[in-house]
Amino acid sequence: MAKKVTRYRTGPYDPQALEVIVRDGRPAAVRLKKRSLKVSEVANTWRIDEEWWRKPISRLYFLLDLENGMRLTVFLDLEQGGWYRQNWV
Amino acid sequence: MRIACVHLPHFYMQIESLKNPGIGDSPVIIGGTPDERNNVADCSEEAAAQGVRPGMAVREAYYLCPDALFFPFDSRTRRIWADILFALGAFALRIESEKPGLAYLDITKTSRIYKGERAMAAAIIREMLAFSGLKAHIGVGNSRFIAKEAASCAWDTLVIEPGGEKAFLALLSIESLPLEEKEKDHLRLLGLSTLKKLVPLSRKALISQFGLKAVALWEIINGVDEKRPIPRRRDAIRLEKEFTGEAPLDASGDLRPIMGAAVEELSDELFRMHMTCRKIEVMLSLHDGRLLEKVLVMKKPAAEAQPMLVRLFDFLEYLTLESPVVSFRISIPDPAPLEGDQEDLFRKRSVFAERLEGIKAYLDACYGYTPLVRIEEREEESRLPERRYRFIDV
Repeated sequence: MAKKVTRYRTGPYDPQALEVIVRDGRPAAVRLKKRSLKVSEVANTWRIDEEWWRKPISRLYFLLDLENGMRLTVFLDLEQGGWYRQNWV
Repeated sequence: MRIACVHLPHFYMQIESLKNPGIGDSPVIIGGTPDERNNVADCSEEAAAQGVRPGMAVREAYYLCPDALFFPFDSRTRRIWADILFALGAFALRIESEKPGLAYLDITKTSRIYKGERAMAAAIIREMLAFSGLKAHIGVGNSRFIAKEAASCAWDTLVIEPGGEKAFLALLSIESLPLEEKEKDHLRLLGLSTLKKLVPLSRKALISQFGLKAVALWEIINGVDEKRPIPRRRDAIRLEKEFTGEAPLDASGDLRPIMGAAVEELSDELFRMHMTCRKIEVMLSLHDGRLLEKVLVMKKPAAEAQPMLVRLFDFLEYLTLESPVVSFRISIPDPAPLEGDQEDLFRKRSVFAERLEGIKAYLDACYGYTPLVRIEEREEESRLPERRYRFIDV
C-alpha cells in the first residue's frame, strides 16, 4: 500500500518578500502588484526577538495604512535584511 | 447611482399625533414618564425649542420642559416602519433603512418609469400620505449624504441634479457631517465652520489633518458618487400562529402544550420553506386586558421545534403573571435561509470522515479541485504568525 504523503501548504501567514521604499528608517511606500502605494500612516510598530539559542529571529513589524485605504503588516528582517509582508492574526 | 432619501421627520411624534389628534400644539415628549429611567425617543418641535433632544434622559427632559405631555414609547411603531418599507418596495427594489423614519432608495433605474425624479418623489410622498397618513420629505442626490441633507432641507422634495452637488453642499454647515464632536471642534479651530470653506481643500491636506478618515470625508464634501450599493431588499417573511382559548389559560401549566403544538407547526413551516428562526416574538393577552410582548433571540438559528421550545419555556419559567392568559401569538419575524448552517457538520465523529468525503466530492465537482485544507495548530503562544498554524492538504 502506498504511503500517504503529507503535503504542507503555504499558509496565509507565511512571510512574502515585498519591495518597500524607506525614508528616515520608516516605510514610506510599498510596491504591490507593480504599483507603488504611498504609506499614509504607520499605525503601529513592534519588535520581535526570538530563539536566540537556535536560529535567532529578529523582526521589526510595521502596521501600515496605505493611501488607497488598505491596511498592511510588513516587517524588516533585522538578521538577514529584507522586507516581508505578513498577515497578522 | 441616484439615491432618494425618504425622511419622515419626527416619525414617532407623527404616529403619536395620529393616535391622539387632541395633542395640538402642546409640547410632546415620547419615551416614557419622568419617573422612569428611559431616554427620549422623539419630541415635538415645541419641546425641541425648549432644549429637549432625542436620546437624553426623560427626567432631564422633564426639567427642561415640565409642561410637556409625556407618552410611553410604543414598540408597535417598529411594525409600522416595517410596513412602510414594504410599501416603498413599490418604488425601488434596493432599499436601506437607516433608522425608523429614514430610508434610502436606489432609484437609478426605477425613476425612468415616472416622468423624472421629481415626479417619482412626489408619487412617494402621495403614497406615504395615503398608506400611513405620515408626511414625508424626499431628497434625491448622488450619495446617501447628499440625499439625506436634501431631504432635511426640503419642504417636500428637493432634487440635487448631477453636477449641482458642490453648489448645494457649499450651503451646509459642518454640523451635518458624519464626524465625531472632537473632529468638528478640530475643524472649527481651523476656522472651517462651513462646507464652503472645506470644499477647496485638497484630499492630501485633509488626510494630513484627519488621517485615513479624511478619504471618506473628502468624498462626501465633493459629492463623489458612493461605491457602496444599497442592498436588494428581501420581502419580509413573517410566520405567525395565534391561539385564543375558550377559557383563560394558566401560564405554568395549560399554556405549554398549546404553545408546543403551535411551535411544532411553525417548525414544519420553516422546514418546508428551507428557513431558520433567528428570533421569536411572543405576545400574551391577559385576562385583565393587558398585553405582554417579548422578543426572544435564539442563540443560533434553528428550524427544529426543540431549541425554539427550550427558549420559549425558559422565558415562561421565570414569568410571573398576575392574570391568566386569554390568547397568545407566536411570530417568527424575518427567518434566515437554511443554507450556510454548518453547525452539525463535524459534531459526530462517527460520520465525520463520510461527510468530509461528501464535501470534498461536492467541491471537486463544483470547482474542479478541492479547496479544503486542514489547519493544524502548532504553537498557539507563538508571536510569529506563521508558527501558529500549519496548512495541510486533505
